[in-house]
Amino acid sequence: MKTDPVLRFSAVALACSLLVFTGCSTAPVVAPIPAPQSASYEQGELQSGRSISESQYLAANCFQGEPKLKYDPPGVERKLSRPGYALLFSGYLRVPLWVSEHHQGSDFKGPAVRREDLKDVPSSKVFIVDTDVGDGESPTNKDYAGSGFDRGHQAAAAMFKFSQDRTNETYYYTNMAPQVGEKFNRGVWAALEGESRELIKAAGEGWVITGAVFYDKKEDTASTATGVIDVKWIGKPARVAVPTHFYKIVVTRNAGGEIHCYAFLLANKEDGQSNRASSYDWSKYQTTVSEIERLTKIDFMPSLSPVDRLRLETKVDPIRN
Amino acid sequence: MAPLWRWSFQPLRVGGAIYNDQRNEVGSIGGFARDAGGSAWLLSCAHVLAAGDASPASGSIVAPDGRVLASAVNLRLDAGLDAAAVRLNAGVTWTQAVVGLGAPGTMVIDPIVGMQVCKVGAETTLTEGTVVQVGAAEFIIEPSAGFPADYELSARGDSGALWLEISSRQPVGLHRRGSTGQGNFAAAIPLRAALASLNLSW
Repeated sequence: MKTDPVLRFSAVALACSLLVFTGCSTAPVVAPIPAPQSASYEQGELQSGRSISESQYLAANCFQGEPKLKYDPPGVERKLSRPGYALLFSGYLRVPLWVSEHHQGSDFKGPAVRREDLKDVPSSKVFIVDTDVGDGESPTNKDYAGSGFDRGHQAAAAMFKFSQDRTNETYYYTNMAPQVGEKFNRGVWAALEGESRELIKAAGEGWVITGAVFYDKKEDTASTATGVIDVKWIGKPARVAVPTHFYKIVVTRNAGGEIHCYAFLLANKEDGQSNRASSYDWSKYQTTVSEIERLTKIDFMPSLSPVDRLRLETKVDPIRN
Repeated sequence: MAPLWRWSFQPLRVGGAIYNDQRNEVGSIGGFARDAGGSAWLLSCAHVLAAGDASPASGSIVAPDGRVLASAVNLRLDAGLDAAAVRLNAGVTWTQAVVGLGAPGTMVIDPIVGMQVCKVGAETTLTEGTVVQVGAAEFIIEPSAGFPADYELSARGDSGALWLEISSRQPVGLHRRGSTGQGNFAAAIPLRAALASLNLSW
């Protein structure tokens, strides 16, 4: 294993390789950086695919190709495709690394209600254990109960007001990540979800990509990088990682084919209490897609042409009010 | 090329997508072979054509547009090799031509280390690599020298795809499994062994 700090940072860009465990009641445990794996032909998977419909959902919900990881994380990743979204779930971190949705502006109006408001759903069943991932991989109520963190939607329920089924699908635990509650999940994050709806409504059509970031600024500099990012885990036993940040990328397309791309990065901490999009100056949270790709090591729109990549991913697109 | 699972070809073509409607996992057409009586059989992996371990010979083999191509009752499989073939229904037309590549060679050859090979699969379409290891039941392909480390050799949906020697287009194997990221490789079943086991000829 190379010990050059820059390479170590590259290896742990998502804190997946080396995490300091600071769970609820257990002493810190340092997990060693996994040695780079030489080709082992015993690994790999049989390559029959998804059903035609799942492949169609994946293609429909991703703009310019499905996001591609540019690194090899530990544990298993599960790609799930549903009518309303597609996502890549980390069986190790137990949060989604990316969730991608495609919307028309009309999706945000309709009769659907939040699942917790459905009379026939007991409170213990509001959030759904996802059996489409491996045995024991899906978080459960036990992981979040008493943790102090909200079950934070990645694909937001309110994006699917047109359909109760689609709304319900957002309540799978594979679409959740631990989020600070008041003044984040129920505040500024909810407001950002509202802003993404406004942007898509204004254009008519759009895509949203949302996911977790594990980031420590000290890792950006060789002299301060340690290859270790302090990350909380929740659950009993602690097994769901708490992201340090969340990103949301909103791509809009109007009737004339004009495309805009807005990228936001928010720290998972108390920030704004208001859940109204108009309460915030979103330019303070905007960044470039390239920056989010640097932090996550994900290529979000791999089929973009070089020209479009330059235009859409390397610049901050001002939000026109 | 966009993934081929979106389309149904008539006549059927090598590289096109098929699935067993009881298993519902898309794979690729690896080729067409004949039995001793001259009937045409569609080749792919057992984990694509078979309905499942419990009752493999059930269900129908279907094209992406829902057209029924064969009944899995007429299935031959070698579970050890993970190779399988299903007899095409009367009236189903096919060509040995590979989507985007044309006709493969007529002579099945054995893989050897260093051989440059390519395949067209239903998900990643045309990709190429170099054979790095050969065994009785599988041979291993890696990205060729000079290719990016994260070059995607294969992905889910490519199972069953036909690997060909690049310059001669002679058929070599049926794609079976793979891995991306670090340790990027593809693994294929030697076609000669598959045909012999299934009692079919190319």
